[in-house]
Amino acid sequence: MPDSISNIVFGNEQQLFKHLLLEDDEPAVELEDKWIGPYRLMKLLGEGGFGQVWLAEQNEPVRREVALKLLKRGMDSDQVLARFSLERQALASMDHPNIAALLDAGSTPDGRPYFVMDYVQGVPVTTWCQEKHASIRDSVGLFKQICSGLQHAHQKGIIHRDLKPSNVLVTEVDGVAIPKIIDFGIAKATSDQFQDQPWVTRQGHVMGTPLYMSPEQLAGGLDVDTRSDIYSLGVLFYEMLTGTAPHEGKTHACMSHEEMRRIVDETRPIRPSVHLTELKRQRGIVTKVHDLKPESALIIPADLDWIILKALERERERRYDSAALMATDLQCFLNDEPILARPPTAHYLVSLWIKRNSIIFAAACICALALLLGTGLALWQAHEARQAQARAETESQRARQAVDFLTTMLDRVADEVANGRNPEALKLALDGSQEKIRQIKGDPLLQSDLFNRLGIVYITMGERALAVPMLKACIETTAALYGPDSEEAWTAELNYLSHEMQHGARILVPEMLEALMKRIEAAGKSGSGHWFSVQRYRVQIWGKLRKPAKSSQVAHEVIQDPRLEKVAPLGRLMIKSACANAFESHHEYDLADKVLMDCDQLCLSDPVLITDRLPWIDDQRLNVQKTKGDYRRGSELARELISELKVRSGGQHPFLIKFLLRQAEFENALKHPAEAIALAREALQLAEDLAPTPEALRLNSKLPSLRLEQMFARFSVADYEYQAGHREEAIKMSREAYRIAEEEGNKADLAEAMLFLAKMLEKTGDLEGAYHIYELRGQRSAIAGANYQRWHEDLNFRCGIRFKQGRAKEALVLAQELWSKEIQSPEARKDIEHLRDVAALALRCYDALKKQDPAVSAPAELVEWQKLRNGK
Amino acid sequence: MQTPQSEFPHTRWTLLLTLREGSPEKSKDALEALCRAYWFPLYVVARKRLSEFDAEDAVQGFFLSLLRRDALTQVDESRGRLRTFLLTAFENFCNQQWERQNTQKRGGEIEHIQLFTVQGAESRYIKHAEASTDDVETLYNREWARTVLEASLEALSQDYAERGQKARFDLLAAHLTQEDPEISMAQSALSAGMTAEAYRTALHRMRQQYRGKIESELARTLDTTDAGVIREELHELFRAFS
Repeated sequence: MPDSISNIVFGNEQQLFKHLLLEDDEPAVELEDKWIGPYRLMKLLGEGGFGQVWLAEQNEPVRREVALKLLKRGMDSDQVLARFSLERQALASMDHPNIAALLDAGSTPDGRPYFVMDYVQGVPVTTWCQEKHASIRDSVGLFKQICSGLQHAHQKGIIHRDLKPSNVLVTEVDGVAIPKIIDFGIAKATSDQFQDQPWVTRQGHVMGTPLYMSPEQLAGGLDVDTRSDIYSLGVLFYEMLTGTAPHEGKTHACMSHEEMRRIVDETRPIRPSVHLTELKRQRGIVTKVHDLKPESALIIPADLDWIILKALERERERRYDSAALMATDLQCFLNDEPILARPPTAHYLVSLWIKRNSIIFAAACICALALLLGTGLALWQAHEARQAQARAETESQRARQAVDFLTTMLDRVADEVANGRNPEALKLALDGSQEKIRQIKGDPLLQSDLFNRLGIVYITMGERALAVPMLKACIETTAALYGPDSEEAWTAELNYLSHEMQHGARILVPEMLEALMKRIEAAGKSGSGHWFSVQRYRVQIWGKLRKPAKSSQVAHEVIQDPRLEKVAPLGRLMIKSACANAFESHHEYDLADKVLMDCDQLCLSDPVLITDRLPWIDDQRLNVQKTKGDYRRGSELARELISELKVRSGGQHPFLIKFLLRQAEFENALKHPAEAIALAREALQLAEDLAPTPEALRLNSKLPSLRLEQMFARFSVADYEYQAGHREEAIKMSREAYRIAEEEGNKADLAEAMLFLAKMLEKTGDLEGAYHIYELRGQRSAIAGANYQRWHEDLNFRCGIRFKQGRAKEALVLAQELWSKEIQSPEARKDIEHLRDVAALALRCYDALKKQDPAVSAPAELVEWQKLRNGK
Repeated sequence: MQTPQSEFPHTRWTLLLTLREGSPEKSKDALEALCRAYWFPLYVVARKRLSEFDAEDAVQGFFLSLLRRDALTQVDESRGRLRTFLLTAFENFCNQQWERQNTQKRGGEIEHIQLFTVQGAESRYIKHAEASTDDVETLYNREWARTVLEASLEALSQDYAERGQKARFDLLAAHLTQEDPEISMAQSALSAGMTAEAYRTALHRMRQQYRGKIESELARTLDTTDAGVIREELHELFRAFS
């Protein structure tokens, strides 16, 4: 700070302030009743950065009331008036019912410029719409008048340059609303004053936001024409309909031109209809305009969207050429005729989308989903996003619909998600998107892609029942496009079967696989990648259906097939590991281990597989030792793998948590409880250490949350603590696991954690507590499972508890309920063994009841149960 | 908006948020801007309790702790005044520092990264505040107000200089503070070859612009354009000197 400046200030602060504050607006009282030229100031109407507006009375030549705008002191009145006089003639020639005429201008004796105009007793147009709960048609009608006024001015060669709600006032004459544009000519006359000033300090005073300025005005160009006004009109209309200006949410109070310009450059305004829906949903901040109106009135028709967006085009060549044209389009809209404004061309949108892609899509969408669903999906989505982008560049039509779909979905979700993870909101949005996908016409490829995408999102969310129809729809659309025996259709079918196998009606899968296999062979593609995929699923499905011999048999055939070596590395790895799994289930441990060692080698020879898949294969190797029961070897192997992975990853790899838990399991099996507890706790500690803080997750939602790992580590600690007799610790850990699952919000995991807690309570003797958790679990996760075997397991467990408690009567009621639910499901009816289990449970309950009360009447289902139990 | 002469390029709250969430490089820039505005006011607060060097260390340490983001966890959307927030945070920082030193003995715990210091802070302190018996908050507010006044005036002088009106600025600035300028103003006008009327208008305009600079600075710290709030803040700054 130069001394000269400090010296002016120091010691003189009081004087400085006094002068500055004296310079403050002349107190209104002093001006009241004063004369300025032929005008007597009567009442202060308003005050702002520019100066004051007075209601004044004119006596000569006619007696009338006028509005007098008195500018701040400090404006160069000579210049202002000089500029004004240039336009004066034009201004005077304006005569239109929607324009407040400018009557006079001059300067006060102490050099303050002033303008005199028709006195309009009205409220800003947006306020009017809000207060009157104007319907869409009302607003359009009002707006058309504004257009007409502006058109008149433009024809006289006058550009307004400062259209905003406070410059468009609505008065009511005989109950008819008439908008009037005020302040014509003033912005131009005073504008050069502001050139070198930052926006907030127009001549030293804070002004409003630049929300209504056109991009070219924001850029500070002198080349401003009538189309700038069209842009401002667009903003105004947007606000009349939705209650907020297009970029209002993104701006803050103190906005410079530069910042506003960046926003306008980088983002396209959200379509008014979407914006309004959005506002409606966030009831907290609710839309100011349409608050109390019936829902139906709240929908902004798509045509209006396009009309507004056309006015808001960044390049003025794309806007309406004139206000009249815009009014005409609005009339077409009112008459239900085709409008001029059309959706922006695909090419144009795609170029914008790609620009926006990185911002909205990557940031909001992927992060939001990752936040919800964990990294797996995020990575998948990122990959998908890249692909989508690549597609967008070549296939514009698809991209446009993809954009529509994704933005609609994400717009809805992003905010809620940003304010805390809200799977319900996501689900709501997804449900809505389904309809959208079905409506996509003429692009089955995109449609099937989106169905698939949505299916996977559902699965990741644990909404498996909802996923199945999506995946089926994906097959149908693909088959319709390429033919049912195209590779594309096979891929879709395999995809569906894989999920049906993992989470769905397994019992139906083998048949479908056989059928698919035959079709692939009939097409001469035996030994192809698809064919091997089917083989892999066959190996897996028999394992899942607990037919290890069958599974192993298929696996032997597959692994000996010489064509296997021609399959791509990742595919080969998947097939081999599936086979190893089958051998393991069939107690062929050494063979399983050998195949997995092969897999290890395969991973080590491929740079991608080594990071992605090696720990996964190693984990499977540990599992083989576990199933084999060779705990000593298992523990050794675990120790080796842990130290290897520690070195490879610097102690940071999430799989370390898994391996530690494996080792703990082995130590526990070797009857080393202290070691087991220590290892499990080490794993828990690591999971907590590696887990990002909520803050970090907020900043980078792509981070793996490790919530599942934390949950499983707690399960283990709880188990071992329980076995060591530390019941309270065990229950505490189980409850924490439940809490974490709840935080994560994934229904499948929540069900898992609740099951664990209930079992723990049951084991520690708190039967009522367990019963309660089972009941809760049934309510909270009933719709989640698509696997009939587990649909009603909560009922099953509750029944078991009542049975244990000796409350046989209640147990029987539950058993009957369970039975009736099971036989309602076609999948369960096909699985005799499953039904046999249910029948056996029910019979046990009935037997117990009969012991308590020999006179009890037999339930209607008794004969059926007995038949099943006796193996018929 | 970020003209080179602008002493206060950002919203201060935005600065704090940048400090908390920005890249290391951006954080550093943000910190420097904060330092420029608040270093001396905080120095005065510290100096009332500490020796010259300890006070300097404390302020320095405080800003470094901002860089380490210790104090920033309290920054939230509820805003309030940044000025008040910094004072409170600084006092907390000093208290903690005092406790730490009492339990640990002194060590070289303050890293000496030279971020920013006010040149001649001590002599400025002696001139501005040493003799004062007012409480630290008043002193702090006063120094902050001075910083605003000085920085805004400096920015204004650069505006004039850029328009080639350095001489006019110097001439008019002398009258910015005068109580009864009529006579001397007439003389100055005469010597500048202006009419008294033109001179008065020029001075008017300068005051107007000066006030504009101050208000936009206040608007940024308060992150509002509400003229009422800004006027209130202006009056509050005024009160620091009465």
